[in-house]
Amino acid sequence: MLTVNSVSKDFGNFPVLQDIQLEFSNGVYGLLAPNGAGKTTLIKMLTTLLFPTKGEILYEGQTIFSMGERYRDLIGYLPQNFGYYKNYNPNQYLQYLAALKGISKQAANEKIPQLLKLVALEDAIKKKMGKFSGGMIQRVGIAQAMLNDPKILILDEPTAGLDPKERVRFRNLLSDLARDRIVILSTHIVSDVESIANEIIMIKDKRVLYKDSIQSICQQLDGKVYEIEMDFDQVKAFRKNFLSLSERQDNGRMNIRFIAEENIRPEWKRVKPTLEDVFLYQYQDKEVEQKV
Amino acid sequence: MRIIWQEMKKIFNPVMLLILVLINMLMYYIFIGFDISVFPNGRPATDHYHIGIEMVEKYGHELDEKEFKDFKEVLQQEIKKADEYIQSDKEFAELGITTYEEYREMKNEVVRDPVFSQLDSKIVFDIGVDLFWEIPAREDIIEDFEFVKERYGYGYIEQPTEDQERRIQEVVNTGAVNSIFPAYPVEDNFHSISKNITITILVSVLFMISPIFIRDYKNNMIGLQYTSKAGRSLFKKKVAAGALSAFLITTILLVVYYSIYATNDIGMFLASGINSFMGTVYWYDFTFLQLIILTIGLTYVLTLSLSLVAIYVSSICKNYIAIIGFQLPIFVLVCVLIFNRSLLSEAFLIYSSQLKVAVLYCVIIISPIIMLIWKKRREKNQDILFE
Ligand SMILES: Nc1ncnc2c1ncn2[C@@H]1O[C@H](COP(=O)(O)OP(=O)(O)OP(=O)(O)O)[C@@H](O)[C@H]1O
Ligand SMILES: [Mg+2]
Repeated sequence: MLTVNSVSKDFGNFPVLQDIQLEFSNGVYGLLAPNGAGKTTLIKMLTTLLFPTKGEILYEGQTIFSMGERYRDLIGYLPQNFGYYKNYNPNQYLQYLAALKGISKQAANEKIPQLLKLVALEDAIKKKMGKFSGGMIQRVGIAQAMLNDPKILILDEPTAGLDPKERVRFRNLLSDLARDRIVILSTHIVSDVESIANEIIMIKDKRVLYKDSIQSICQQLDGKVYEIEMDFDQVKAFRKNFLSLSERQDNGRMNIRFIAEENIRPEWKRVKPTLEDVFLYQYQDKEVEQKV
Repeated sequence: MRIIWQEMKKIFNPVMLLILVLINMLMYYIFIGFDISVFPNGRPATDHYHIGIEMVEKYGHELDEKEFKDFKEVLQQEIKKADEYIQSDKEFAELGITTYEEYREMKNEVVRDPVFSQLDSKIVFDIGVDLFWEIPAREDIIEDFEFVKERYGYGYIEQPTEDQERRIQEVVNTGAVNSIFPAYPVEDNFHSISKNITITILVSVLFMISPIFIRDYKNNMIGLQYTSKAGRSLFKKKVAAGALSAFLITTILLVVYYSIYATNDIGMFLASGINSFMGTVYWYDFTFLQLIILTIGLTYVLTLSLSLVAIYVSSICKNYIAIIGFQLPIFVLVCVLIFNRSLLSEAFLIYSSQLKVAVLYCVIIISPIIMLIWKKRREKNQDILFE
């Protein structure tokens, strides 16, 4: 059990996170928030790179900083912008990180081919990473996070740079990896976590907004999300009065998905709210918010 | 240990090694090669060198009174040979010169006969008759030996301090001064080449070691490294890897360059004391070999110290320009100190203050250690910021 206990983090006098309270047990957690919300900051504290300004982070009741290398031995981390040496091939790269992770040479020799196979890079084992595509690099990154078979796997925007096909592959891969461990996955892309996360954590205004299952989070918008069809020229006026969540063209007309909390009209089609709806609702621009 | 080895692999990456070889070839041709290819550098240096060899072969590493008499005897024979040469030469006859003594007198005249000057320059420089070089060289050596009590050691000091005075007397009285060691050109050549070797090694080591931390920073490796099991202790391991690599590079280059130096054929002087009547006084009674070993030791101290500073600088800088900005002044300062005779073999000559040398080396050894300890302590309780 990993516990974040009333943690705040300031950079200088600039508060980024305030009074964060979280608990993680085995399962997949989607850390969902827009750019600059503090996802990476939270993750860097969970990986001991940053010290909380206030509060503490505990693993099985012990602060992770006092655990030191015993704690770091338990984590696998894929940083948001992680690096590599252009002249290294994936094997050399993973051998290097295996040494840093204190994995024996023999264990590393066994584990590395397995992991490269898992991320479908076994054919590129001798190829210099400088020649890799963004997706291939990202996959090596996932392999490196798994090297020490971590109890806590922390991935900061792991799907950045992956094409749609690879995203799907990655999601499947992650569901397999998620057994018997804590997986924390940060993203600002809802579909990345929608299908695999047991719980979603949303951060808003420096604080935890939700930490709940997708179903419970979506419940709050029950009966508030509607769809309607209209002509193009009506759209502009409509947007002034309602928060439009998505718009798509359909047979020369516009199909609009939107939120309404009162004055419901019978011609609107009520639909089931999705996580995407909640995300857009919560992180809408301030001026629109006032209209709802 | 495996981490240190992995870090060393990064330092010795093939491209860097290739550039290192090129740097060394360049430095060799610009700085070191000269002291190899032209040793003993013309005349009378060559004559002093050959006479030195002849003396060591005949008398061993010290010259006593009996051997000195023999040496003077050899001079007389050479002068006789010069007489014969002069008598058999038509041009000397035309000038009315029949002995070497007469030749010497003509040469010492304030206003020389132009015809004589022409002939002299032909004999000495164009033909290069050995006798006319060797006789003055032998006479110089004899003079140095005869006047040891009067002027030995004072050549470079106008107002000797009490300590300097005492040291000179000591060298004279203990007989250390009788050592046969053609300081000119052997010692001069060593001072020169050892300085250039040290600077070449410094450049090599700084080039290889400086990227040690910034390479990881630039490649965005910090996040991965500091969250691995090794964590913040990686700093220590990287310092160890850097120091070990510096040691390795220094050793290899020392072996290479001193092997090349060995081709200068100075082996027969290795056992000679360096405080010779043919040269200058040092503060200590070393043999030439001991002086060389000491110089090599000091080269290690300098390269290790500067490489630790380079490691520190690499760990605090965010780009290569900043590294050069820090390192260049330090490197230039060290070069200046080397060339003004404060750091290597010349630092032990009588005119060099030993207190100054001791203080310099204390600073050189202690400051990188303080820097690294400070950095290590700071990192322990600080956020790791890398983006
Ligand atoms: N080292 C730092 N010094 C000062 N401010 C920082 C520092 N690192 C992050 N911040 C600020 O903290 C806030 C949160 O940044 P963070 O990187 O945690 O956001 P994020 O949710 O990961 O965003 P993104 O989706 O773009 O990765 C931002 O406003 C950022 O400018
Ligand atoms: Mg981020």
